[in-house]
Amino acid sequence: MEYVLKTNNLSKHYRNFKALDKLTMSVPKGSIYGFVGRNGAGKTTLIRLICGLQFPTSGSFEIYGAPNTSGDILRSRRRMGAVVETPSIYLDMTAEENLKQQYRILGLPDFSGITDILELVGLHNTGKKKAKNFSLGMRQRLGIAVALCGSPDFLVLDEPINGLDPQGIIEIRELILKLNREEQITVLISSHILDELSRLATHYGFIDSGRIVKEMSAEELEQACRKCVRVTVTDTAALATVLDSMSMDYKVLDSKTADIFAKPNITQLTLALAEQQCELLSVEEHDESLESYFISLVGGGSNE
Amino acid sequence: MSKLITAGFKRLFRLKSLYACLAVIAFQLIINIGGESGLFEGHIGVRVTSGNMPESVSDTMRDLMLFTADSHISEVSFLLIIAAAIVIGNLIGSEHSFGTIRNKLTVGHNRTEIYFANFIVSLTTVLIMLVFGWALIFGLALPLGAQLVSTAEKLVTLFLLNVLYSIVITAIFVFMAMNILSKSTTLTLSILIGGAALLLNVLFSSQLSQPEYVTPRSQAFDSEGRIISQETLDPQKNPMYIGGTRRVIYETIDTLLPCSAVTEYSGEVDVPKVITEVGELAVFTAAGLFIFRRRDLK
Repeated sequence: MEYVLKTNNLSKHYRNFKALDKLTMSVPKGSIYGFVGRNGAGKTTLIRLICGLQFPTSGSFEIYGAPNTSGDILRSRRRMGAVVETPSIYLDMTAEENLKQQYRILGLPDFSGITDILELVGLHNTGKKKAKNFSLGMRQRLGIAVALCGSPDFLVLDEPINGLDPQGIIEIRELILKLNREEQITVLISSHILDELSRLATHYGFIDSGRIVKEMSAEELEQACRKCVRVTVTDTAALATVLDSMSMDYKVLDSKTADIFAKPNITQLTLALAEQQCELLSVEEHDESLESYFISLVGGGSNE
Repeated sequence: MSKLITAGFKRLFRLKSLYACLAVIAFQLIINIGGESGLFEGHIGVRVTSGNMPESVSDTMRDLMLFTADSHISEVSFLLIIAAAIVIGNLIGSEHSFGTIRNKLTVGHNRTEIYFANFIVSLTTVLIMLVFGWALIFGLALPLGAQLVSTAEKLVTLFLLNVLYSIVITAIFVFMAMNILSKSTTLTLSILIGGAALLLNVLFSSQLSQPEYVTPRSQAFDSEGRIISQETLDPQKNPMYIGGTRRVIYETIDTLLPCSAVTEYSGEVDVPKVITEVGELAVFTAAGLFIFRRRDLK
């Protein structure tokens, strides 16, 4: 798999506080990588490091294969766009002027792409309205528009839906999905709003106390959070034979426990197991939400 | 870096504080030059030329009272330091407060480029204000009848000293603006430092220019201001004269002030002051760059 961003034991300390503690993660190309963690977990710190706003205390990272210690990192950053915390926009300029300014910073002589970007983020009708008079959602979209100047391949968005109203959240979500699907832009999006992330992300990185607790794909997370019936039997091998014959999806947890990802007919299941000399000891519905999964990851003792 | 400079100029020419500072410089010069020329006669001042100068006025006073274009040059130098503090503080400070400095770093510009691009744009701003002030002095004072006392050589030297002074104050204010992440703190500190430098310069230059001995003169006038009798007394020790260690301290501080080489220029270039200014330029630029290249930004 090709990775846009890879970090290796990346640490950032502010005096005695470890904002990042040997963080290792990989963002696959073409993904929407949901970077999940509580407030203060280290999400923004990581984004600041990869954007070149701050320097790591130890460890390293690569963007498009360029290590942070080499001069090539600057060339790799040219393929990046980012919105870090608050949108970086000139409040005394209009949306169009802001984009023109970013075009100049990038050294792009032709402003013809600006109209398309403004249309993409839904700010094409703002005319001479200054950014200081924009709503929070409009500013957020303008921040994304500025980040999109220069057609980046990798977009980094730090808490882009913070403070937005429901309509604004939907707009930003659709925009991110559009950019990922239509423009093939890899997106790293940090958030602590799990429900919203689950509608977007193809991959997840769970961070707590500056460390990655778990990285997984959306499919793996879905599996982990699927509704299931947890059964305890005397012999899971016999259970597996029965479930296979019933064409049911399941996962054996240990010699006596298994999760069945369907609603089995208990009478039929008991009879079928009895034929295999296997007893059904207990049945319970098991349902784990994304939130409870996250809590189970970060709330426990070990974060390894 | 040319991309950053182009973007910086576009931003600069939209900066309201630049036009406000140019307006203040213009207002100050129009009031002073207009007042001296008699343009506002009966309201602000009286035009004094060598032709209508009263006989009783001493030579020193005669020089001070004469309506000349040259005397207004130091006014521009004084105004320039405050104007530079305001414009540079706003120009670079807003990059931090709007967070737009991140847009430069994120897309791969390095910190040295960003620092020098801001320095060049800021220096151009200060030079624009300097040239504007000089142009206004000569464009306004000479047509209104002001005399030009200085020779062309002296004026060129003074202008070059003002350019050096502009570079030094730019280096100081860019050093502050690039490394203080709060625009309001940058502006407040820059204006305070600029104002303090001016006050100290006025204070020290006036005290250091006191002669060690003074020669009192006794004069009597008739009702029309003509001298009837005049007597020169023996020289006496000037009680205002500063000597000893205190003088050395005052001179050292005065030399360190970036405005002193310009405001105290009297025809001869003060070499130690010029060398000090060049040193200040190097120190502030190197320190500013050193800190900015290592600084964590938000």
